[in-house]
Amino acid sequence: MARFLGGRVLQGLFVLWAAYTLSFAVLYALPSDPAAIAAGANNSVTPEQLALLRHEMGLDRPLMEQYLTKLGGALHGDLGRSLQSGEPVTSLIGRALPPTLAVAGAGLVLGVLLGTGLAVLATVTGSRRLRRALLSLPPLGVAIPAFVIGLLLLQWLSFTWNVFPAIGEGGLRGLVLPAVTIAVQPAALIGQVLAKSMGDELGKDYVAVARAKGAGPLRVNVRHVLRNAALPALTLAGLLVGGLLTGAIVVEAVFSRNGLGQVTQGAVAAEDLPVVQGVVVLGALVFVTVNLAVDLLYQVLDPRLAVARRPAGRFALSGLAGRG
Amino acid sequence: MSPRLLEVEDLTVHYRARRGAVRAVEAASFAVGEGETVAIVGESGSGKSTTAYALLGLLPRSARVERGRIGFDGRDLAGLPERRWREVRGREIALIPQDPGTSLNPVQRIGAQVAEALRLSGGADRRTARARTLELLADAGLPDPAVQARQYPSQLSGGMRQRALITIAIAARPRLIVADEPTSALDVTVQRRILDLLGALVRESGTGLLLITHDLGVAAERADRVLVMRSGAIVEQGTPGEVLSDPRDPYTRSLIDAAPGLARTPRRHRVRLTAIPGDPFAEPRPARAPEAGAGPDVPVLRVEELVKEFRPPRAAGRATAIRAVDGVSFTIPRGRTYGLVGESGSGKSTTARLILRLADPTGGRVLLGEEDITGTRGAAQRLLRRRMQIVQQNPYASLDPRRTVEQIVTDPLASFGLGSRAQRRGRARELVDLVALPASVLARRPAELSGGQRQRVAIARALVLNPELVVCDEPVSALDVAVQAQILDLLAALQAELGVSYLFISHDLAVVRHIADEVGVLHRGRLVESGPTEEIFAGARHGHTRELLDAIPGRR
Repeated sequence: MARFLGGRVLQGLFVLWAAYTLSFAVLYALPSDPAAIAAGANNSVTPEQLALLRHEMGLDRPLMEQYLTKLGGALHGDLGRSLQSGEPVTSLIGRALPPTLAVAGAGLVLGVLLGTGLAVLATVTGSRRLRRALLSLPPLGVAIPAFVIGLLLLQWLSFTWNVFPAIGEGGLRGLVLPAVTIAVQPAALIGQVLAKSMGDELGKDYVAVARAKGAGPLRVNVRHVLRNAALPALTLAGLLVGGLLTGAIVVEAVFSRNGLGQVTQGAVAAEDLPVVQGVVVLGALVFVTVNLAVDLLYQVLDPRLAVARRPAGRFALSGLAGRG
Repeated sequence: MSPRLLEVEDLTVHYRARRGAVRAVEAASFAVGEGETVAIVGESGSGKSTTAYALLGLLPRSARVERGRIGFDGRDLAGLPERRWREVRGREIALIPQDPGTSLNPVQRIGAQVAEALRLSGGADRRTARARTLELLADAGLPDPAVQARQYPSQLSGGMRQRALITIAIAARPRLIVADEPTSALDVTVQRRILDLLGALVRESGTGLLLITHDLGVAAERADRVLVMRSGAIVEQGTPGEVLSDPRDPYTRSLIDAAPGLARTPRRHRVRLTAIPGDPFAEPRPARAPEAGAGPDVPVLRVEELVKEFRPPRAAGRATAIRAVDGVSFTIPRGRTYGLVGESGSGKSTTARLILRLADPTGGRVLLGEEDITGTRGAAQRLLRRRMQIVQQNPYASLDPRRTVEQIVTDPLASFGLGSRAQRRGRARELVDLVALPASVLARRPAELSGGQRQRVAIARALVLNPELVVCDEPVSALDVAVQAQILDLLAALQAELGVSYLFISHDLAVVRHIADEVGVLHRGRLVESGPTEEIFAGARHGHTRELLDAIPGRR
């Protein structure tokens, strides 16, 4: 287990390094002058002052040297300073992260709960009509863009009925609408995949055995089927995290919330390269962490995966012996 | 006569299908007494499993009990609402399913699954469930109940899983056990031990047992009474002696002939050499043509001191490698069949993979004709595929479901670029005809074919290149006995016609007897006995061979 974990952590570090290096290569290949941006829109800067600034920022040195210096800094947790405000990128992102994490996290939890609920209900129900109605929801949820859902929610629940605040933080109450908006797509995808794999599991032999023991439908579905069907949905949930960060940008724009989305949007518009790079590296970090967690969860959910790593189990599972 | 526990009268079950109702069971009437074992015998599609699941109220949604009465202990179970069925299932009527590999929940410990059966039937409460579970697992003959209770199904062998399922079935002391092909997914030696266990449990507790099987040998050996089912109707009923010695229905006769352990004389065949191996479109030449490799005196395959070791992963901390194949040597003469027999895990499939060059041996040599093929790689190894082909165990998994039969059969020709499109089409038609399938199957896909038909397609695909050697890896063990016999006959007829040689791998000596000229018995990677088939059957010297022989149902 320690071996497995060590391997995965190394893999994660590689992904982080690759994300940093790629973003460096792409961003610095852009035809923009960081020094000019740092000097601001102020046209009174003379070429001499600009050259001096460039020298101070190390932009006149060879590209490789710039890269190694910056990478060394990144290893010590220094991602450079924002070109616009001069604030360290880490503290800028650190400040913008909590509200975004709150929205994205709430969205993910809500999405997983809604998706699972939909799949379980559609599988357990004896009514064919209810099942069909439930299973027609996911395609709808995927088809409607998040910002449309956000705007509709705003229109009804904030402006018409005034149930939830339209703008700003407003604590937990302010979190509801953005979280719902962000949760719709993950819920739809998870619901669809989970309902499909639960349906597949229901036809398996062990379900017949469970029913032959005298188990009722709820017990069969929740105790036996759900856990076996969870793996594909879990993989999907891990992949959806990347989409949640993108979703957060849209939602923060629609609900005029402070957060990472706003910071990213501003940085991209102003070509504030260190900030953009910081956001890319943060995205990679989140992705790596979540997928490591998903891998660990696999082992908890499916003992066969943990067993396969032990020698005796591996031999038995090698498939050489066939079905006999 | 023991008191009647179960009395089925006029049971009729229909399946709703797109083109109207399909009759699965038609007016079946039978009874099972307390402590009595009754076997229902029939091939797949005969309605025997539908009957079994009707007795448990576990029919699929598309099925309906149209008519009839399921009398159990004075009540009629037919038409019972689902809620009431739950009180009957487990407590009064229990199920032992067919495939222990898929019938246990893979993500739950064995102990928890047994305890669930106890709790649901009220046989134990939260406190007593654990102790009672261990007791029951011990009763079912699991060697170390405390360990197995904490293991997951994937950590147990097939036989141990079936013991766990038997434990689940007997947990609530049911009065009737319905066992649906309880041993057809198991090796013959394991089959015997499981059937012994079931017999003992039933005798001790006075439970009625309804044994569903496709093997008349098993039924005759184990049951007090035998019912033969065909196309949903019961065509014969009686004691095993009556049914075997004086079958009234011609179908029963054919089942007796098909059961490998019951038939008296093995099938015989002759040898003739034809065509150029590896290229069906080459001009037929005499067998001593240089491409043919060698004359009929040189054996098609020689295996010398073959060894395969599997090294456990480094993390395991164990230095010793596992010897899956340990110094195996044998020879297959041209146009003959060599049967390789052993339990699962004995190394027979690994041996096959080494011969086919799908795995590299740790030591030893493999000679195809006069050529040493042990170290071949790349293009030379690919060319070997024109001379050696394989027929696999499971025809449901070995055929690509998205391709038509014609595409499947001509695939080897296409991958070696042999023949024009028209030639390939002609060859496919020829092969399909050779394996006794109608030409109309060429346009169909595997899903539209039965198991036996699929295996015929797999055989056609293996023969399309005109190979010298076909490795048949358990080619009939996924099939019903009646279909098994047909496939074995087909393989023998093809050998007589084409002169192809077979390496025939099986866990079942009875099956091998019908097809092999020589037999080798593998046990833990070693060839413990080898010789002409009839000699092995007449006087096996090694204890393991005798055990395999005793396991054949119907021989005692």
